Amino acid sequence: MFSELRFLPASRGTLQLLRRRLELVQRGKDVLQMRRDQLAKELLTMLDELRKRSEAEKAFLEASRRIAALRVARGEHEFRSITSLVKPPEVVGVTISYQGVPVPQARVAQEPDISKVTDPDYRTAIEELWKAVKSLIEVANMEVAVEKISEQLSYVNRIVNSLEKNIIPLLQDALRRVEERVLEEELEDFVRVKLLTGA
Amino acid sequence: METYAVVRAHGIKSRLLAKQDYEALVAGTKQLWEFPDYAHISEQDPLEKKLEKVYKVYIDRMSLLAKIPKISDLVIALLDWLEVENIKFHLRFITGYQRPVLYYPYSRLLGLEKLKSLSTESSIWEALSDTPLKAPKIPAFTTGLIAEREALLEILYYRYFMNTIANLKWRKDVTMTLTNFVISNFTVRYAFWTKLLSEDVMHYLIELYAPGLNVHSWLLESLKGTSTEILQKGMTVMISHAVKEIRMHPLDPAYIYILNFLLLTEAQNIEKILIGKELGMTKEIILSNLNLF
Repeated sequence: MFSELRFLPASRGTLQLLRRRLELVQRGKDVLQMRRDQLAKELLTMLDELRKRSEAEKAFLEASRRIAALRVARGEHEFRSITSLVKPPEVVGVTISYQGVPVPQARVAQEPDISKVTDPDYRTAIEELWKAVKSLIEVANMEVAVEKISEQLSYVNRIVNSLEKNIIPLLQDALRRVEERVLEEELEDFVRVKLLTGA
Repeated sequence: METYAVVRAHGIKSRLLAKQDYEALVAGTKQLWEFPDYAHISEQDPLEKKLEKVYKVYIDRMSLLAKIPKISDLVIALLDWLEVENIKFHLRFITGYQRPVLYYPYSRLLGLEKLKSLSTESSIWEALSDTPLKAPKIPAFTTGLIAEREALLEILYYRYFMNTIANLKWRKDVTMTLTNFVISNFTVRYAFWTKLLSEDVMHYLIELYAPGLNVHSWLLESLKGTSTEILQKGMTVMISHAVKEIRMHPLDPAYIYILNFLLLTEAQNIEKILIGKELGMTKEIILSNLNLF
């Protein structure tokens, strides 16, 4: 697209065209820079949330250990039969927008139903495990959001850099060249007119 | 004939795993299939199959004694506990969310196939009314809890067991010892159920369906804590009781009851070891969950 710049005819029309294009590109770059800053700010906020991962993992390991201990203490036959009384949770996938970036997220559509489990030991262990799984889902959602926003940030960054380091200098060069040519041609015309009028 | 049965029981007891065997199994220095009675269990068997074979060993050992007249009623009543457990598993299966459950490989009262074909709670009670459990066709429950149904099943089982002992016509001291054992066992179950249901519900069920069933108040006092702790403490008490009684009744049918308890405990211990190893639990945790005697 920008290779044509070398072959543009030097005229006032071209000059106008180049100035408009440069102005548009610079405005675009400013807008993208603002978006980049916004995404970076969002990312920083999310990074704080990501620190909860170790806590969530620890809680999950603890809850799993408790369930495993109960499984050993009460036996596999009883464990399987008691857990068959638990209605499993429903987790659905949705796409939500973070600063205009579409991010796939897991949402708990229905909590597990443990109302049929009457044994307090099983109830506590299952409740703890579900709480830990929910925290892990939240962390996983956040991680996916961070990944998608980072991808978007890096894309925006690449465009801003390309505009800043490549397109804008090219346009500025072309503009300068055409400006010089137009000025030269105007000067030649002026001299030619002076000579013809015999001044 | 009873003495012959007890001699056979002593032979079976001599094949029980010792503490060192459990330690070797947990440490992995010995495998389950290296023990003659469990040689048919393969390393390649899935956990469910291994557990089925382990309980089959227990059932086969007890079934040997069930063939001996005069004690067969007692042995069958002892084995029927597994079917009561199966009925509980099936009740949970049909009232729950129909995820696969494990059943013990034993059936007599209903039969495993028939039990699995029953898809409603009312059909289970209906079917159980024609068995030695003599379940009411329409039981009167006070709550909608599945635990109340399970508790009633156990109460009916203990009533059936007490009636079996009463009909055995053995020496009074033997009958007394057996009754004492059953009451101790029921007391542990009673303490467990009162953690899940209120005492009023348990009293109501006992008064309505098994008024003659008692609990040992001295034992009940000592069974405090969470439901799992109650079962563990109960098991410890039962083991010490069994070890004490085994010396006092080496040659009478009470020994059969104690043997059943020890055989079932062995099967449960192996189950715990298999699961513990499958879950990658430490040696110490597995060992702490075993009931050793």
